[in-house]
Amino acid sequence: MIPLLALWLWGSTALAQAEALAAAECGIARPISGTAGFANGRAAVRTNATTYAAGAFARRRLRAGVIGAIDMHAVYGAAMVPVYCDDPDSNRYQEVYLDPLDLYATNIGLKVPIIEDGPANSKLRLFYASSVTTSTNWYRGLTFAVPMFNLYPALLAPVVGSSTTNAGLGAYTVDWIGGAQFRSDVVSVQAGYTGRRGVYADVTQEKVALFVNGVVDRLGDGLTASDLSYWMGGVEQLDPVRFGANEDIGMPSLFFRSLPQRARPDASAVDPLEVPTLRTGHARQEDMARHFDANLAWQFGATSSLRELTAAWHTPGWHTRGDDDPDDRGQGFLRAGVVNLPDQPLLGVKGGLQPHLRAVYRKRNDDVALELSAYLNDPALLDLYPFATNAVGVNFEMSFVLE
Amino acid sequence: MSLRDLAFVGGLLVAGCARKAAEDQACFEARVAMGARLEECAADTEAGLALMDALEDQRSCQVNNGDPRLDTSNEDVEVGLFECAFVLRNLACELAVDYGADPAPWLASHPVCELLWSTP
Repeated sequence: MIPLLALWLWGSTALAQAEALAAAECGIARPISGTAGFANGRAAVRTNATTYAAGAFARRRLRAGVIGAIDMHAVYGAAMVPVYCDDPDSNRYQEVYLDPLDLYATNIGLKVPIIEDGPANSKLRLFYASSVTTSTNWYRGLTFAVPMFNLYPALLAPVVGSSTTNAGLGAYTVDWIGGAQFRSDVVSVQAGYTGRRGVYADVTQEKVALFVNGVVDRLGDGLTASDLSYWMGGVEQLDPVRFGANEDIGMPSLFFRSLPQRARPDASAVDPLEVPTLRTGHARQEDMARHFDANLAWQFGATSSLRELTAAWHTPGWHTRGDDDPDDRGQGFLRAGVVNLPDQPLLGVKGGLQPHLRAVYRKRNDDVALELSAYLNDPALLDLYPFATNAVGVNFEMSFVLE
Repeated sequence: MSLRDLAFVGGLLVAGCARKAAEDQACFEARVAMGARLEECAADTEAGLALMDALEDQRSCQVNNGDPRLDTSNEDVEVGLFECAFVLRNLACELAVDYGADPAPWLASHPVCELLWSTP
């Protein structure tokens, strides 16, 4: 059932693309600068480059046991941009309409073992990760395969160099990171230097599941709080089995996250606006009875409120615990719930409850794990793009497993 | 497939697809543009929101009020109405801070703005 549902979601997005193509056959669509959609689109493009930047990818995907990873992501309709059709051959000629801005990202990462059997089960590995992010607001039919084509520049990012090309709502960003990962029974540390002159670090104590990580996105003469592009810390997936408890109670998580929500201020501002941050607290109970997850997030600050309330069902073995062997059978995950967004009039966004759905299908063997997911109003996506209501996302992730 | 399933698929089909702009889109964009510009220039979110509220209290959107200059069924007119948002979103910061939360000087920045939002 779950594979069918994942394929159904995947197919629905393909249908959405076909429908969009037919409805918006305008060869010369000019985005209208000055509109909220245009401003949101510009912010989405910058956020896309940060979200799927090499450092963020390395932290999230090059975790224990993974020796290499390839990801492709697409978000359809991250912002709705008013455009003017200047194509005399189009049925929309001279019409003003709202056109979706689509975001794409391609990531590649690999690790090279240096020390495998050090004291206290320690391991030292070097890693490389890269990202290519792009955006378009034209012809999805032609741009659908963009993440695949971007595998080549992602592989050769150090040769191509870290760069950003940005014109209007079109952007092309290449980023890479090199670093080292040290793991042991006592503590695990991962740190790297990015091609865009930033650093990131992640420190984890796996026994009690404590972690803290953050990204400094630019290095200059001095380091200030605004240079810390994001940070989070707390307890993540604490397995009670390690302490002799019943596995059916699931794994609790409790962590805090601080995430910037907008680009840096206009240089000409009389009194530059401080970059607003989204500060959230997250409580989760995962793998209850090996089948169920529950997630709750609370937003702190002036608009303090419930941020996310979701529940998930998955096949047993979805979360690998303790000495579990990974399950070779196909696995499924289905999550539903609501995301609560505050009104943000200055972004042209009306808040309220948004329905969330996510379906994932995973298949793996001893060497490779494949994961295909599709989602609507994903909480993590709306944290980053608060204007992206009803955006549809599709992810393809492939991991090469070492241990 | 149940009705609920069909509704779900329908929702996905609509998600993120091109759609016609609302009739009063140009008014909406002008209002957001002035609020966002004041917030950005004065580093004051409350001032930006106050400006947007003041505009709505003191003026009303005049699109399609019978004036041919505001007739959005005429495509040339429709796109021209977005000039207001463009001008306000790019207003010099010194002016934006000087104008503050009073909509009148903002609207006086461009003839289209004065046409779009006038006193009821």
